[in-house]
Order: sequence, then C-alpha cells, then structure tokens
Amino acid sequence: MYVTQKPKIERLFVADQPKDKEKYEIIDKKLLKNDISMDELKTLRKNINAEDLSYIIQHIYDLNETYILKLSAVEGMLRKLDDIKNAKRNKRFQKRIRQHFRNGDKTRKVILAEGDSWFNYPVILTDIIDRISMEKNFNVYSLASGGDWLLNMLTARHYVEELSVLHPDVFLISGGGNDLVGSRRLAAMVTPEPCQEFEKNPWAEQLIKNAQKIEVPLDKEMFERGLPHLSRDFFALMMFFHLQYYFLIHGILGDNDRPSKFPGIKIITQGYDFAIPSFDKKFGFNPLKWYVPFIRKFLGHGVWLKEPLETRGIVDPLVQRSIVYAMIYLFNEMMIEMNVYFNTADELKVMHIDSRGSIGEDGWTDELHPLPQHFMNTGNVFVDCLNGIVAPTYQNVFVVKKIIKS
Amino acid sequence: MNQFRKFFTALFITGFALLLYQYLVVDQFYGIPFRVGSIQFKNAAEGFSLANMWSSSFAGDHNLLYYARQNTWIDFIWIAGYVGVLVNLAYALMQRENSKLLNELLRGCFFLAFVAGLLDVIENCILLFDFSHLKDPDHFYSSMYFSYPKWALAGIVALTLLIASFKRLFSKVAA
Repeated sequence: MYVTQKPKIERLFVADQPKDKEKYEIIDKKLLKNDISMDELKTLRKNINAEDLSYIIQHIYDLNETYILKLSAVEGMLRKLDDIKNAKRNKRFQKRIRQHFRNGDKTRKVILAEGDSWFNYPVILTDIIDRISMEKNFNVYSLASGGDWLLNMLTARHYVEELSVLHPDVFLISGGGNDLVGSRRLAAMVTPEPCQEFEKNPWAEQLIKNAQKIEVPLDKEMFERGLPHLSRDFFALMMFFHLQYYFLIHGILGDNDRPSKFPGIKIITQGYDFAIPSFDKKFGFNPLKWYVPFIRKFLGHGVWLKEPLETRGIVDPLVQRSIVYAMIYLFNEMMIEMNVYFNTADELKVMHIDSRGSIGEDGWTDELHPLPQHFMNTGNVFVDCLNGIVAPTYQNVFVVKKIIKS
Repeated sequence: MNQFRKFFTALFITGFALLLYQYLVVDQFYGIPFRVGSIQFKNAAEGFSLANMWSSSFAGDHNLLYYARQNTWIDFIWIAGYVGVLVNLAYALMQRENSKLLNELLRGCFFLAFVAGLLDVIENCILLFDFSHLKDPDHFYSSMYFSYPKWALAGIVALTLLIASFKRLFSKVAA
C-alpha cells in the first residue's frame, strides 16, 4: 500500500515571476511586513493558490523552495517508523473494507487522517489516531507522519489522491506544529527585545478580541508577557497557516461556483496545547512512566522549544512558557476563526478540537507530545464528536478540558 | 505480521524447539530426569551440590553438566525470543485498549519484559560462571536473587496480557 513518498523537489511553482500584481503587492508590502488589513487578508484569501503559498513561505523562511522542501521532508529512521505504523494501520483498514465495512450503516465512518506526530507518534505512545482506530465503527486510513510539516502535506498532496479513492466520511488534519518549531525555526519566530508586532496586526487583534474566553480562559498575564516577543515572521507565519488551511479546506469543500466532489464530508482540525519549553529529562523511579526519560533523552526533547529560545537569548523560563502560550493561543484562535467561513447555521462542515489547557504542567511526555492518557483524552473527544454524541462546547469547537470533565 | 514480530517469533520458536529437543534427548531418550531449571532457585550451597551431582551423572557420552551448560547457552536465544514476543503482544493489545489504566499497564509491560530478560541474562551468566568453578565452593554463587524477581516480573507481564486479552475477547463476544 502506497503510504508516503518524498516530496517532489522540482519547480512546481514559478514564484519569482508574480502574475497578479495586486496580489503580490499585498503579499510583499503587507503580509510579509505584518502590515495587512482585514480586507486585504480577505482579498488575498479569496484568490490564494499553491504558487502564492510557495512564494510566501520562501520569503518567511528566507530560503529557496528546494531547501524548504528538503527541511520539511521526514527522512531517515523517523520516516521508516512512521511508514511501519501507517502500513499496519492501513492494512487493517483494507482488511475491514474487505469485510464489508461500508455496508450502508450510517454509524460507520471511513476516516482519512493527515497530520503530524499528534496523529502518528511512531513508537511507544498511543496517539490520537490510535484511540480513534479502537472504535469498531470507525475505519481509519492514515497518511500522518511524525515530524511532518503542513507545508509538506500540502505540497505532496497525498491526501488529494486518497480523498478521491476513499471518499471518506471524515477528513482529519493536524499540522502546523512542525512548521513552527521544526529545524529550530522557532528561533526565527521570536525576538529577545519586546516589539509591537501584535498591535500592528488587526487580524491577530481581532482573533483575541473574538476569542471565547469563558470556555477557554485567556491567562492575560502570560499572554501579555509572551506577546511582545513574537516577531513579524511569526505573524506572517500565522497568516500563512490561515491561508494554507483555507486553501486546503476550500479545495475539499468547494463553494457555490465550484461544488465539492465530496458532499457531506466533515473536516476536523486540532490545535495542540500549551507546550512547556524544557531540558529536564525527568529521570526518576516510576516504572509506569519509564518511557518519559527514554523519549526525552533520545528523541529530541529540548531541541524544539527551549534551545531555540535560549539561542535567541530568551532564558527566563517564565518568559519562554509565556511565548509558547501566546503562540498556541493565537494558533487555535486562528483555526477557529478560519473554520467559521465554511460552516452555516444548519450544518457544521468543519469542526475544531481544542486541547488548550487540558494537558497541564505534568501531562507532557516531552516538549511537544502529551502523555498517552492526554492523547487519549483528546482522542476520546474526537470519538465523541465523530459519533455525534456530544455537542460542540461553542460554535464548532469541542473544548477537551470541558468535555472530559463533564 | 511485521518484520520485528516475525523475527522475535522465530527466535522464540527456535529457542523453545532447542530446549524441547534437549529435554527429549536427556529425559525421554536416556531416561534420566533432568530438571535443569531447578538450579536457578537454589542457594549457593545447594546449587554447588546439585551441579557437582550433574558433573558425575551421565546421559550417553556427556555428563549432565554438559547439558546444563548447553541449555544455558540456548536459553539466551529463548530470552531474546520471549522478551520480543511479550513486547510485541503488549504493544498490539495496548493499541487496542481504550482503558487508560490498562493502556498504561500494557506500556509498562515493555519495560518489565525487558528487565525480566535482563535479569535472565544475568542469571545465565552467573550459572555459566558457576559451572566453570565446581572445584571451589567459595566461588559458586546463587542465581536465585535474579531468578525470583525475573519470574515475578514475567508473571506480572503475563497476568496483564491475560487480563487485556480476556477483556478484548469479552468485548468482542458482547458486541
């Protein structure tokens, strides 16, 4: 079963010869300078295409397309382990299909999953897709790869092929985390000296203004401590994520002019939780948590968050946590705001699983990944959402912390 | 079946087959009751006495100490096999287990199975050393301090796997 491949490193996009002058004026002079108005962002979003996205990311990362695709590629032992786990999952998928899984029973759902290590943590842990796959009425086909970038997922477009073949009932997507922290890129997203990039960005201000702070409280002190350290590139990247997700979801759901090839499909996104920068290996005597020091020692703990922040001279642990807090809060609000465009009063086509605040201080295996029990909490909310047995906490958002308590 | 599972299953079957063959040769063919496993629970004095008795008892052309030494070497293959099989079984059950506690216990089984295997390796090293020092009782050491914990850990792993398997079976039947 064909599950993964290296992204084609060829010039798919002619990004150095912009065709739409107005569009590229907005990109160059507004978006990349974090000086874009809401109307300009809406204009850009309406006409965004793959070529534009490639152009934007090259300028955010200051790297050429070939090198970015090389950076974002999942390779080596991680790729092998991801592929082994996906091969197993997809073999099971095929077995259930041959057992007449799609027999007309509406409670049964074929699910296509594309994402990163929250959907495919290849060793030891039980991740979100593992939890969803435990349900007898769900049959999951996985393209997820630990370490994968959203950019890579959209470039390689494996999900497009599988959408056409499987016509799933649900499409799950988890991406953006590695684009933000992979290859120590976090260092480029922060500034050691406070700046006012947030105040320059009406879209980001609007996100916070509209945030549902009762259901997911905003820790104002932490947010305001971390916010001034977010660089122009971070806000450009947030808007880039917004455009990427819009491009992805719009491509699947279509619009009035171009109806969807997948009528009835539901899409579910997720936005991570407030990770904690740390070098602590957590050695200690707890046989049930034996894997924590093992994973922290050998699988990159400290490299994604703490080290890049220290590299930029941000050494205060509280400031470090606050920066990540602000990033994750904005990322989730970005997802929630973007999903709204695709939903109507009658139908929720796009839903968001909000894990913010559900994991807590001691709930992390390493800097980026929850302990299995917390993966399972989020997975349980996915299951309840897919089965339709729990209503959204608000709008199209399922807040894990609220649902697991109730 | 993936490559890891195939490999460890092959080791498990090979180790088991070799041990079974040795049992058939000594116990059945030569008709000599040979409970090689009993030495792992003996203290130093008892173990020394038992090993010396083996060195003076013969089955065919070889004394029982020869078979004990052979058995211990084969046991290394068996250890790699059973640890691998237990970890694979625990992993397979874990990824189907939606109870957080049982899921975590099954994950704990990876560690416990590995430690049991490690204790077994140490036990074998002690036995091989002992078998080479039968003239000197002061340099004969008991392996029971590693054997008992090994069996305890293996028992915990086996029990956890059984519970998880039965739970899975019952849920299939109930469905």
